[in-house]
Amino acid sequence: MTDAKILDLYWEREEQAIYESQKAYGKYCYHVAWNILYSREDSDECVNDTWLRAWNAIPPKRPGKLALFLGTITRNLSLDRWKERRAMKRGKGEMELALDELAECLPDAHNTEAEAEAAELERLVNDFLQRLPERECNIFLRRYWYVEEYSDIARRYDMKLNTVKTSLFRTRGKLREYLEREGVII
Amino acid sequence: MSRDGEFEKKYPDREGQERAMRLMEALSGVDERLLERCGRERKTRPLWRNMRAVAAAACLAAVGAVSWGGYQLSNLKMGSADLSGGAAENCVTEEGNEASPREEVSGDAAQRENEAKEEETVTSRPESTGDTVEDEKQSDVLSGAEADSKERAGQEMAADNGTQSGSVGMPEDGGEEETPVDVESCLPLKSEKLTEAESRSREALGAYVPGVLPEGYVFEEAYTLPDASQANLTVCWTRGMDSIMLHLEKPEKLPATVDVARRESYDQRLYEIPYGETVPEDYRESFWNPVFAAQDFTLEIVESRMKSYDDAGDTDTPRGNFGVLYPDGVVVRFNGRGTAQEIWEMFCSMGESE
Repeated sequence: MTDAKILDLYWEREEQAIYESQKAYGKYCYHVAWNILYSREDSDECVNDTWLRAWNAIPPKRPGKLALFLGTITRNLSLDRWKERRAMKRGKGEMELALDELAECLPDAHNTEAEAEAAELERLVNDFLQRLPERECNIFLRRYWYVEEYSDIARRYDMKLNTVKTSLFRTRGKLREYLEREGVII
Repeated sequence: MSRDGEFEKKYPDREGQERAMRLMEALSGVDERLLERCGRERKTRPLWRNMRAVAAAACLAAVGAVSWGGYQLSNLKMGSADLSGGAAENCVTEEGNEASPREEVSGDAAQRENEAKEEETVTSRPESTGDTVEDEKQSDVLSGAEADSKERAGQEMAADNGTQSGSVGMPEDGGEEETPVDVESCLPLKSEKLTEAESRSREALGAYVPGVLPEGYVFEEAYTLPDASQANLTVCWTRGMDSIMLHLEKPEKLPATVDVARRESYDQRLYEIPYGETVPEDYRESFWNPVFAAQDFTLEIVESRMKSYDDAGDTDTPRGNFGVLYPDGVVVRFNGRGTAQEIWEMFCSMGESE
């Protein structure tokens, strides 16, 4: 079933919409959640919550790309779940490593003046990514949006593992410089 | 231990954790086009897969050309039915230049016909109904696989979940054209991870996993792609920022090998960067990816392919790539770093068990 038809079902408040979403994007959303949570149970719950969130959001929303819309919901839910879980016990898997690496991009707390709005940070990150060469941007998103392992990224783009690592290392450096230049306060 | 355990050790300041997480969250708002793009780009597809698409396109083009030719001929015969009002020969003499009114008319007609066909296809597509069986399926979709708890378990289970529609899309608010999101490409590649020992024991290819590696290299990963049409194995070792990657395969069609007497077709020492400007076009293919017959393969050839580069931020270990075709049809493609002597010794240790 096409996205348009699935969205029509949502708009008509047909519960079939959830089944069709699950059928078409269950695997994709599960993958997004799994890479962050590394837990079947938690990933299942996040994916199931995704359909509920989508049900509540559509209408009034009519997303352009349903897959990315659902994937983003799953990602946000998974990040929340990860934070909750970390509050109770140590997290594991790629998420921890990915966060570790991303922390390098941020100017030290004492260099910042105040907290910036999340929307502004989002805008800046988007602006930064738009300026990156396509391949570099893709690698960055595979790592920090999908939280994929280096080796998976290397395989996906037929690159050497170290090339992926080097690319990410350089991109993080650039992001840090960019955010500092923009006076980002996180 | 604190409740956040080792994670807090990594980020002794709580702010560090929070800031990293804020950046992670900011990425959720990334432009959809960028996300879509990173899912779309895949590694190079095998030639045979591309050939299918090329062949299909060629067939369509041929059918189209024949139909169009027939249409033109029938109009030439009819003469008076010329909608352009001009001479029929215009269609022939001006073909390929500006579209004649006739072409525009027929083009519109074809477009209308296509649209009608598309509409028919859409309307005749079977619709799913939300009956009880499907409701049952719905609840079972995510709880289907009770798989193992290994690293890949989640992904494998995901592969069992539901049936995936590979490429779907929708007009943005009904305005823009449908741009498919290739969801399949966002999923992990199907590969089977192997240990070093397992890679050595692979049938046919395992014997070509070298027993000797340049000093300091440690095993990083090995995998095989089970969906590939031919036996394949990839093994990677690393030494800090240096790496060695070997792709082993046994293709049905053997690659052409380089004539070692023609050094200009493969010797990197003969050319300067940028190679795109200095390497003659005739040698580009062999220069970028030469495959040598095992009987021609010598230390001197390795020396001709391993070169140091002054890349900023890179190590100065010589690097290079080439392939070797062995008599039993196994092709070993090397890409990595090390001195020529080290790489030569590594290759000498291959196939020893055979």
